[in-house]
Amino acid sequence: MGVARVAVDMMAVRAWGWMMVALLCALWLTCLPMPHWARYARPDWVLLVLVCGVMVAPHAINVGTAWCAGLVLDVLLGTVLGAHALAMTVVVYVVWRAHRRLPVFHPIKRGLCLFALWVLYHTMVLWVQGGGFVLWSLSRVALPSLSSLLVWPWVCACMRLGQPLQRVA
Amino acid sequence: MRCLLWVLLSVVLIVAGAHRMGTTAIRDAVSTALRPVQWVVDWPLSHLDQFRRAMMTHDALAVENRALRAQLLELQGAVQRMHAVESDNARLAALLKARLKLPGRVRAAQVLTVHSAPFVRQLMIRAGVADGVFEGQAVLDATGVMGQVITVGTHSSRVLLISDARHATPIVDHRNGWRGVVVGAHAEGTLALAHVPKTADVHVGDRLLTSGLGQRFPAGYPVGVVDAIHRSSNQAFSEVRVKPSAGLERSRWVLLVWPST
Repeated sequence: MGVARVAVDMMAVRAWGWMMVALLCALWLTCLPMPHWARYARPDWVLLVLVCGVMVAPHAINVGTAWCAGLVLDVLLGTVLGAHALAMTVVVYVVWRAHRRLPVFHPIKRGLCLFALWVLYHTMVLWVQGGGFVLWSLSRVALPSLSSLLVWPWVCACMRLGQPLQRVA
Repeated sequence: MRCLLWVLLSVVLIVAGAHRMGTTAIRDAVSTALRPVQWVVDWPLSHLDQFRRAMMTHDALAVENRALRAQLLELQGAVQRMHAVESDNARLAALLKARLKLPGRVRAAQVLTVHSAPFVRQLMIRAGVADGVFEGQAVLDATGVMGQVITVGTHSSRVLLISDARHATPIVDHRNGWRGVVVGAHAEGTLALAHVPKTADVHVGDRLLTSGLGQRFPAGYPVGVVDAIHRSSNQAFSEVRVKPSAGLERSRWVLLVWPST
C-alpha cells in the first residue's frame, strides 16, 4: 500500500514537473519575436498549455496555476497587472468544469467551444487594457484565436506524452 | 469558491494598478524572477545574428561597406554644418546673456524584443542599470524619437514607445512654433495630435519636433509629420493623424540620451 502510494506521488510530481516545463516553453514561445505581418497571429501558447493541461491532467493544473501564469504573462508583455491573470483564471475554470465533457464532443463542436473561450479570453484582456471600454478589434481577437485553434491538437498531443498516469486511468 | 477568490485578487491588482498603489514592486519582483526566461529568449537570437553576419558573402559585405562609407561621408558633412550652427548659436546666446546648453551624452543599445500585445507598444533593450540607464530616459533612433525607459533592470530595460496609447509627447510645430501634445493612437503604429482646436494653424506635411517641455525629451528632435487632418462639424476638436519619424517597431538599434548640462 505504501509502495503504491509512493508510486502515485512520484507520478503526480512528474505530471506537475512536466506541466512546469511546458509552461516555461510556452513563455519562451510567447517572447519570441514574430515577423511584423504575423504579429497578431501568434497562438496563445500559455493558455494553450493550461487548457490542454486541464484536459490531459486536471490534477496537475488548477485555477491558482492559471492565475500565476497570467500574472507572469502580464509582467512579460507589459500589460495591466491582473489582465491576463483574470482572463486565464476564468477560461481555465470553465475548461476545468467541462474537462470531462469536452473530450466526448464532436471535434467541430469542441473546436467551436474552444474558439469561443479564446474569444472570451481576448475580449477580457482588451476590456481591462481599455480601462473598462471594450477596444474590440477583429484582427487582435480572431487571428490569435484561430491560430491557437489550429495548433491546439498538437499541443494536447505533446502534453499527453508526459502523462502516463492518465493513460493508465 | 477558489475561482472567485482568484478573480477578486485579479480585480484588486487591476484597481491597484489603475491607482498606482504598489503594483510596481510586484512587477519588479516578478520581472527579476523572469530574467532567466528573457535570457533564454535572447541568447539564440543574438547568436543567430552573429551567425548571419559570419555567413555573409564577400560581395554582400563589399556592397554594405560602400553604402556605409557614403552614409558616413554625408553625416560628416552634416556634422560640419552643425558645428558652424553651434558656433553661431553660442555667439547669439552670449549676446543675449543666455546660458548655453551643452549636448548630452548618447549611447547606442540593441533592441532585444518588441512587445505587441493588444494596445501595448513596448520594446526591450540591452542596456540597464549597469550602463547608467535610468527611468524616464529618452530613447531615440537615427531618425526620431522612439519613447522613454519605463522599467530598468540590471542589463536590460523596457521602453514605452510614443505610439503606445498611454504615452504623450510635448511637441512644437517646426513651421510656426505651435505647441501641442502627440499621443499614441489605437490604430497600428500611428500617432495623433490631442485636442487640436479647429482654428489651429496645423497643415498636412508639418514637421513636429520635441518642445522640451516636461523635461523628458530634449528639445528639437523629430517626432513625426502631420499625415492627415479631419475636421468635423459635430466634434469640438480636429482629428490630426501623425506619421512617426522614427522606425518605432523596425529599428534594431536605439540611442539613449542623457540630459544636457
